Amino acid sequence: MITPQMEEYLESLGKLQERGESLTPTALARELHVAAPTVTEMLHRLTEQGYITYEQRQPIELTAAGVAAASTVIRRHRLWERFLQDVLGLRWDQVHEQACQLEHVTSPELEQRLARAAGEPDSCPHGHAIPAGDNVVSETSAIPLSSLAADQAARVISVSEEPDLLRRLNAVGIVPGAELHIEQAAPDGRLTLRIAGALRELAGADAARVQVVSLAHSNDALPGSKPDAVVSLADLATGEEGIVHGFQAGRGLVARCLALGFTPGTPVRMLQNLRGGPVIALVRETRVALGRGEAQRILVSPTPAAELAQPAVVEAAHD
Amino acid sequence: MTDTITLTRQPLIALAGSPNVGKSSIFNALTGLSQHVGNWPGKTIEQKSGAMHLDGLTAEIVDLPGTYSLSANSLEETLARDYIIREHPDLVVVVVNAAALERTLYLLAEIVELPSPVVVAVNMLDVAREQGLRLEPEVLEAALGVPVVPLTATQADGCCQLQQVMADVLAGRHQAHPRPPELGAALDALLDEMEALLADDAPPEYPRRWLALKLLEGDREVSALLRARLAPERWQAVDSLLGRHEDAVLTIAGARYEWIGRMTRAAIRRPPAGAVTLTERLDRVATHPVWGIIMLAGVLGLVYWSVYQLSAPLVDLCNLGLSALTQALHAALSSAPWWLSGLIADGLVGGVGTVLTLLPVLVLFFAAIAFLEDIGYLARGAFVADRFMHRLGLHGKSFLPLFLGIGCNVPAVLGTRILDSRRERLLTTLLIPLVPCAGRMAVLTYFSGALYGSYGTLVILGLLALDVSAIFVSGLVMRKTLLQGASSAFIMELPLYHLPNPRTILLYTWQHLLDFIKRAGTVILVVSLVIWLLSALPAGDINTSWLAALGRWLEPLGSLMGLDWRMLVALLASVVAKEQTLATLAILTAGSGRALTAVLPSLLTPAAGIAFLVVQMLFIPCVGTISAIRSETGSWGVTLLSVLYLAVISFGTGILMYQIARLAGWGV
Repeated sequence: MITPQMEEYLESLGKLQERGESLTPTALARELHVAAPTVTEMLHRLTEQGYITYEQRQPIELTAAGVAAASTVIRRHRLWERFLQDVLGLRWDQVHEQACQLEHVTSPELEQRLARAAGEPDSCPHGHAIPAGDNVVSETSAIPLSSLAADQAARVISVSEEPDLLRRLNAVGIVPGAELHIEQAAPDGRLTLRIAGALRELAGADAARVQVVSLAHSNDALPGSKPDAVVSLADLATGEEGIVHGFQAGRGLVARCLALGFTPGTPVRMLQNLRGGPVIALVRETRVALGRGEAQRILVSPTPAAELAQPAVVEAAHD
Repeated sequence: MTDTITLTRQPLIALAGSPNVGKSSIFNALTGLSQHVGNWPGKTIEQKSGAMHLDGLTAEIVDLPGTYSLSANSLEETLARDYIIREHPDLVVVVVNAAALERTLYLLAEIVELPSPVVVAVNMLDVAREQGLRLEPEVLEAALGVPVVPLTATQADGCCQLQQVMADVLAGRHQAHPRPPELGAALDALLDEMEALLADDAPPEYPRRWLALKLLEGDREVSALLRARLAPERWQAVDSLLGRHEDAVLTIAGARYEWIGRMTRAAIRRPPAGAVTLTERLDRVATHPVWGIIMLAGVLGLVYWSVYQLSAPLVDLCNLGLSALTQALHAALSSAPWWLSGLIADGLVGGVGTVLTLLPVLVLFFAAIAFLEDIGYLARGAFVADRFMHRLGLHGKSFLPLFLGIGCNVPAVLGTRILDSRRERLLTTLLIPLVPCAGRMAVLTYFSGALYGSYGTLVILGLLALDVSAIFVSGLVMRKTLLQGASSAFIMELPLYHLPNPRTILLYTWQHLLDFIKRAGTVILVVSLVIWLLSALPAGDINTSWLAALGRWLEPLGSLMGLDWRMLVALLASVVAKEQTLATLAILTAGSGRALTAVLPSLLTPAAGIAFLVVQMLFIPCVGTISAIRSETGSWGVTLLSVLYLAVISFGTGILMYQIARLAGWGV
């Protein structure tokens, strides 16, 4: 028998795993806002019931049943958040608390109806992906906003759920999907950001709780200053090239992209990318038209402009 | 060795390949006219099969749906792989495109994992040559370990060598040593581990390694199959192994492409980079958001203009022949009972014949569509239309069938086959009847001219504006209610432009025509006879017929729009064919002895005229379209929904317009 408290623990473990953090009792206690000794007792109960494997001084591992239970709770939680915000009109800083209660009293049938009523969303209001099946979506391709330097651009992927933080973020316009440019990074971590044309300030501690993907550099940035930057395919301008890095998409889209030749490590060239509308990319000698939404889900590392002049780069990337 | 092929059954050959590799050209070249077009059992996806002659032996060849891979992402992919696994074809011919060799070999990388013998046909050598690519088939054959035949299927003798090699393989005269893709040590170890877990519990009809591969690729169908099949604790072990290797799907695809890279590196010579190809130059215009739309409008405008220019004399000729035939039949049957001559001359020839006079229009339309598709332009049209189709919850591909609807709704409904998801096919299918077809426009033009004289053109423009808004509103409403969900991913290959192949175009036209004629011979025949019977029984006078009784019974509805029973019957008759409205009204008012244009103003007040035109514009489609909707969706429910929806919105809008017009003082 799985209790609400156990669900709460599994959910937190699932979220740690999503972020690619190691599953330790300390991390779990921090996530749950409880004292470390409290955690240990529950960990033993979860081990007994086969949801996790856990031994002292070893990282916790979710079993298949644990992953299934965790993803179910996470899914219900995020569906409720969507429903509460989109359908019932609650603010995004109110929905998390409510969803924490509701997620434990949700039957599979209710969950299904909820998903339908909320329009089968694929992410929660805070930008976290809603797992479709018994799996935990990996969010590791996003990085904290605080890890970016001045003069870099980024798109917000997700934010943490603390109500106070959400109110502050909302005030400066940081919501999933927003694009921003870092004008200044003070030594104490305070960032000056340009969002939708306006200059905004954000404390360093808050910036650490915003997950972003870095966008292509503005023209005045040094080419090649950060070769590992990952952007979405939709961020490549016409004529720019990049190497496929990965995906932020569901299984179906990933499989289609792979079959068409967008495998990690493959060079792609943007043939047409105008403002809005679909794009055309050249991959493995094939012209592929992609909707903008689809192109945004394919991650690429842009090839620095300086190297574009040498055709050898494309050849070398084949190997 | 000249021994004949000895097999206990007729050899079965499957033809596989990605889209845009010229697979249907090869299929047409191999089978000629001995093709059979049907549906896959229980599915609405077209299945083509045909007979071919090899060394004096007849083999059956089945054209598998064009797919990029064998993962169960779409119905097509599931069908293709189930066919190879369950039917055990004696030979699978995998068609690849020489101009996009690496990508099209991906399907081969999956198919060689399956047990059937394989021959690779490298098509489109001419296109590759234009691109400056040089291919060495022997090198590829040596690397792959399966026969490789280079060809250009569109050329007259393109498939001779392929037929020879196919015969050799079937007769066992070809020693093939296929080398399945090496995926690397890490993946091999993982696959071994997975295979061991599956052990003997795996369904025996599937190769176990293939199941292991598909599991690791996250294939939903295989997962569901094994979850149901394995003991719970065994499945849990499998599931946890999968959980630890979630990114295996990326590694596997990467490894396959790496293998393809090794296979092709020595076999292909690339041109020096930087040459601007024809495709690139054409696409600068064809995919441009402004020039592309102008070009699309121009191309489609040209198609319509030329189709009508060319077909008008042919249609007139058909009509002349038809009325001559009707009169001749009446004369010949003058000694027969009235009901027999009426049934044959008016019901059968008049009904089915009228629909068949659409044939010239359809032939030219099908040919034009086949032409645009064959040269590679249609994909560009879909690309530029994507921007505004998004607002309807559809994407670019849906634009094509909708646009075809302006000519005739029937090919438009058939055209929804190109769409990926069932939701999109349904939504597009439900919107198509709102696109006014040529027949409908002809009737509307006639009426507005007769009723409103010089204001007729304005009325038609107003009706078109109303119709476009009805399409948008319906699209939005259905998207928010019945057919919720995001539009499926818009990922589409833009093939290289190439010269049209007359054979492909002719066969496409022929098959679609045949389809239409078959329908005319069945559904349309029956409905025409029924309508004629209703208009003749019980006494042989239309004014006292059951049809008239039905019209009178509907009069309360008609009175809301100022329409009498004759107008209602004329509307109902448009369900047989849109042109039928005119013919029916002509019969119903024949007693007055005046031309219909002269009678109409006395039948309809200006307000009622508007209501009539609005209803006619939005009304239930013709039988041809209804039967196409039924056969394409495979569902009576959807067909009924479509008919009901259109009946409700057409009458609803008609009543509304009438009441408004009456308030405006047009009711007298």
